Amino acid sequence: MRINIGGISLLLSEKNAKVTDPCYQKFLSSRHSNHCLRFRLSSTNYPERHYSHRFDSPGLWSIMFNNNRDFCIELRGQKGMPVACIEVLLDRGKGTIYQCTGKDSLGLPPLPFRYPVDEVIFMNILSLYNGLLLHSCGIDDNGRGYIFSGFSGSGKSTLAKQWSGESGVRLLNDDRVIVREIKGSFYAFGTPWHGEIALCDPGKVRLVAIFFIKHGRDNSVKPLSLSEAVSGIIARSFSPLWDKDGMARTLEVAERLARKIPCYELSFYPDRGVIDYIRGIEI
Amino acid sequence: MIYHKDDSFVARRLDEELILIPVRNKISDMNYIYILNEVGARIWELIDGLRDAKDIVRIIQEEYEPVEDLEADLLEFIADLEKIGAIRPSA
Repeated sequence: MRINIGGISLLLSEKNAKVTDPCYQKFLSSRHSNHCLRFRLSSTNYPERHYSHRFDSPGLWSIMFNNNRDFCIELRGQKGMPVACIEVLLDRGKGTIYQCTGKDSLGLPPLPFRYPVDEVIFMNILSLYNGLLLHSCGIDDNGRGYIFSGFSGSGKSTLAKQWSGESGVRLLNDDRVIVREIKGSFYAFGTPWHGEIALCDPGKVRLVAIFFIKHGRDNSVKPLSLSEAVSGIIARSFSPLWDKDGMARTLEVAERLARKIPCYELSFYPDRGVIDYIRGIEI
Repeated sequence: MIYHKDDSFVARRLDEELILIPVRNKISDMNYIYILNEVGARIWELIDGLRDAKDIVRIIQEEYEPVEDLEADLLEFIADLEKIGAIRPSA
């Protein structure tokens, strides 16, 4: 089984694995990708290899890593008990899933195709593929890619609803969008990690503009300086802030992105008028 | 006082400015991104584990237009860098 997100594949060699989540099903792919991580399910316990660093996300997961590119994600269940360890040997393009509790929960996508494990894997590897993961809503407006990025409550899903139903408009995702530079152009990719709107699209679109959004009484934009744009991108990205080299690469991507794609602060009033307003901006 | 840069920060020059990001081991520690202006970025470059803070102030005074209380401001800025953990006194 292969899942393709942002042009990068995760492949699980397990005949009985099934994906039931409708969003994830859209990302299943039979196409070979040049960027692929192959996973296998181990029947043995996690061998407890030595990792020199550790980053904890309270209650959900921890990541352990060395100064090379190997890392291990420990997924925790109720009461903070580890339920699985997913080890990735990045330079060898492979990983192993060690289940800590016998049977997996029914109805959940198999590991590693399960939030937050897949997202954490992508946070770790995206900068190696000239990409980053943005807390944002991604829209394909007749081939023009717009990203509306903001923290929780800033209006990403609200804007996604305004765009829905417009002719030629495709919602890539209302909460998480991958941005990658491919052959000198930046593209926005849909992901399965949605917000309020459970619609996801595995497609991509050439990026035209990035908006850092906030609610307002009317619609207005302010172009951002380079440092405002780069710091805004980093602040709204899911970056490997535990990994100095990964963070340095992510900053490089953010700088190239901000130099190439216009970034604005957008105050918006949540009605149909914001669509015409965005389309009317001379970019 | 001589300072050196702390290993746990990632820095990148953005034209005249400089962005500083701390590398941390807990989500709660990650809420800060620092932007240094042109003078701040120059000070960052001059902090190399060899120069004394007063030497750095003197170089800045030579390179930029004179401003009232510049020495005190610069020393306060260097103290702020130490406070956020971006630089440390060298032994």
